[in-house]
Amino acid sequence: MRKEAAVKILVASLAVVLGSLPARAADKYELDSVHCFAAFKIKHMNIGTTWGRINNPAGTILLDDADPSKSSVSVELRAENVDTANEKRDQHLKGPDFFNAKQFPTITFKSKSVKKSGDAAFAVTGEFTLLGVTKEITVTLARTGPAKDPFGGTRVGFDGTFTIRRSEYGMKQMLEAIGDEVEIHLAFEGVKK
Amino acid sequence: MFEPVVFGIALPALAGGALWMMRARVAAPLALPVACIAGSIALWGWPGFPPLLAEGWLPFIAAAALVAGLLDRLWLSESRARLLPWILLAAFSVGSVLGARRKVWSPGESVAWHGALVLGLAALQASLERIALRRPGASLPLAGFIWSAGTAGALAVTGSLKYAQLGGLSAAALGAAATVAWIKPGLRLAHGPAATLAAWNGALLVLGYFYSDLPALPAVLLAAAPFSLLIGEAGVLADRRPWAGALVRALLVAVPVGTAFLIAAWPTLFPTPGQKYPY
Repeated sequence: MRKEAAVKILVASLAVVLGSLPARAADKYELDSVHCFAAFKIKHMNIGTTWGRINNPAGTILLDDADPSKSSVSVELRAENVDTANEKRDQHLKGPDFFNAKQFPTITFKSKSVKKSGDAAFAVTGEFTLLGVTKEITVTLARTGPAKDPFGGTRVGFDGTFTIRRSEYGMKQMLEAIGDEVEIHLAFEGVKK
Repeated sequence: MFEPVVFGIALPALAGGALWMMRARVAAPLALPVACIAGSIALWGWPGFPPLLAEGWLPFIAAAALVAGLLDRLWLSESRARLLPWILLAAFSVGSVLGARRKVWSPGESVAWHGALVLGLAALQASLERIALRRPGASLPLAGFIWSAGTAGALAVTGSLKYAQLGGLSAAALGAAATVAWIKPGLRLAHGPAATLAAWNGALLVLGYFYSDLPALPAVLLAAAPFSLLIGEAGVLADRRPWAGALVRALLVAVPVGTAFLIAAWPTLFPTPGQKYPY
């Protein structure tokens, strides 16, 4: 009887102690802009495909493996960083006909919900803002890692692709010549903080 | 190419031309605003209110110019108070398109830029109005066409086909006015159209300089080009026959406009290897 009471007290004490510990927070990763890529491709005159990228993405990923719904993704691209390997074309793309970088310096994605989608993938739904227009999109991000890097840090990688219609964001110039659908490829590497 | 030609050139030319042809007192102040509003909405749709893009304010500037023109022509034409709507229009034109810049400027910078640009635009309106009052007929339509077309061209080669198309709308309407002036030599652009043209092209130059890549020198040359019409009012130049005078005034505007276009187009006309970009 005494032994039973002692076990009950022990279990209750453990419950109190465990309950008082903070819940395990999601891991925070900051995007390593040197190893992050936001590339886009679009039809040119319905003939070829033109590729470009927006250099130096920045952002944060909160990753909770136990409860993916507590994860989040926030990414910011600077329209000024558009790079298609042609100076004049970049100048045109940054101008009012396309990315309008002086009026809308940033392109952002902020997640609203994250769901597990397969073994190492997440369906991330969030608000994508381009040219001041915000629309909800879902991106499937495949995960690699986390893994240790040679410097002792922990890194995680995400890859994903999604398509938008640029006209829906008010980017309507030269739709016949350049096309409306833009395929956006993301390859991000985050460093644990 | 269908839409830019039909909606960007034919529509404003026809809308403007039809109104320039009318004898009604209210027709002339309507011509340029209606042509510009019709063309911009046909090309890009209703911009919403408030517009998201700075250039989305241009149809509203044209609408405000329409109201100012009607006020001027119908009620205020003999009064000093007629200046007030045009000063308000200059302030509205500058203030509306500079919304995105105000977010990054300090209050001092903001006041300085707004003050200087509103004063400059008001002066531009006044000089064009002066010519419009003194020179009915083809003088101002022809000079205005060259000014608008040159502005459109400079905007096209410095980063924005959209801004260029907006310049093309006023060029088409003024081209129609120049044509109508053959048939109707008494066509007057005073009390409305001249100041509207200044507001529309002035706002476009502000857009080109602040949001696109129109360099400062061509922007200033284009903004100053209509002032050269005042030279045409001097001595021997002022006494030419109407069409000869119109051609002289067109030439006076064409010189700064052409120079501005050449400076703006230089990197496109003579690109370095990395700068070649045929769209």
